Amino acid sequence: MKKRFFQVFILLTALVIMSIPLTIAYFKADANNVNNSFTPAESIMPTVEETFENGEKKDVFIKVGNPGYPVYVRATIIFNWKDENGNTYYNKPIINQDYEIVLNDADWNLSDRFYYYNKSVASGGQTTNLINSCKLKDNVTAPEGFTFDVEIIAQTIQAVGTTDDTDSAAIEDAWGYFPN
Amino acid sequence: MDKLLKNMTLTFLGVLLVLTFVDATYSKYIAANKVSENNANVAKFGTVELKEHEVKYENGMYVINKESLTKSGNKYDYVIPGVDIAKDPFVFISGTFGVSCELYVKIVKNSFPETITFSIREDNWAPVIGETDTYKYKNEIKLNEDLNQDVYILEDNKLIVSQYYQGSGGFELTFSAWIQQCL
Repeated sequence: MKKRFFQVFILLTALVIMSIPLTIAYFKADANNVNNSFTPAESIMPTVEETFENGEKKDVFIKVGNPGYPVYVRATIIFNWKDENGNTYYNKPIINQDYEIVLNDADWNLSDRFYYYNKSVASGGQTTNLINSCKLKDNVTAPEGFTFDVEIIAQTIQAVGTTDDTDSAAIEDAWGYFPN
Repeated sequence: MDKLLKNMTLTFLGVLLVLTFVDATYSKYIAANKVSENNANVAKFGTVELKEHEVKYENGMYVINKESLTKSGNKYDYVIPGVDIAKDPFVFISGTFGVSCELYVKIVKNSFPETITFSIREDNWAPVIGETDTYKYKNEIKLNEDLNQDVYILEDNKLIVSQYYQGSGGFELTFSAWIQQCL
């Protein structure tokens, strides 16, 4: 008797287990997934390119690197007398008195100490000359122990995208300027 | 011991009877499908596919190319602050369904930044209460209705990137969709 009930018990257990999948088998069909991966764009430091010979700095322009998007460019030019240790003289050189400089005014606009390039530069591109020529005037001598130093600091900012609230371009929002 | 086994057996008999009833109620579609192909009463079901068009990257912006579909999803290599990302996932439903159905989509975010947002088209989709980022199509897929339609998911087909987005690593977005019989 025990054996019989045990056999029936096993049989019924098997039947119950088999019936479970059928009770939830209403129609369902899955579509394929669509997966997107995203990578942040990088910010690439621009480089200043120039030719320097016989005490004259010539053909100074900016390369923007390859950030993957177009950028606007601005630069500031700093004139100093500097010694070999990088210390600056207390007086600054004076334009047209101590040095002369030929700028590319056609493509660069001066605004609040910065020279702004008139148009955006594509990724991997470069500007036209900022400085065509810069040198000490003839018969001008640097203070003893110092030499004439011209430093160009360049910056870039994305030329695409807008602010959240006002739809202003990034250059307007960050630099307060928009190229004409 | 004999009494115990007897009681257990009777209990299982009762459970089996209940489950058999449930089985009969809900598996009618499966039963219909097992009928010979020559029988006009075979239940049909159409297809549901999740798609999106390819994007092209031009001068710092992604543009949707309506001429071409991606195989499994676009890859975006340049996420830039303040530059919205074009993306147009949609569900393509075709054929006829032998039962009335409901369409669902689910969106899974992986390391997704808070400075990037998107909206779901309210005319097409309603959020499923109690589920995260799961939406139900507002129109029922009717019985034997011959379909051939695209159901777009994102409002304006784009992700909105804040000017304050500061990328510190990659992230992912996965869309899945399914269609299921109305209960």
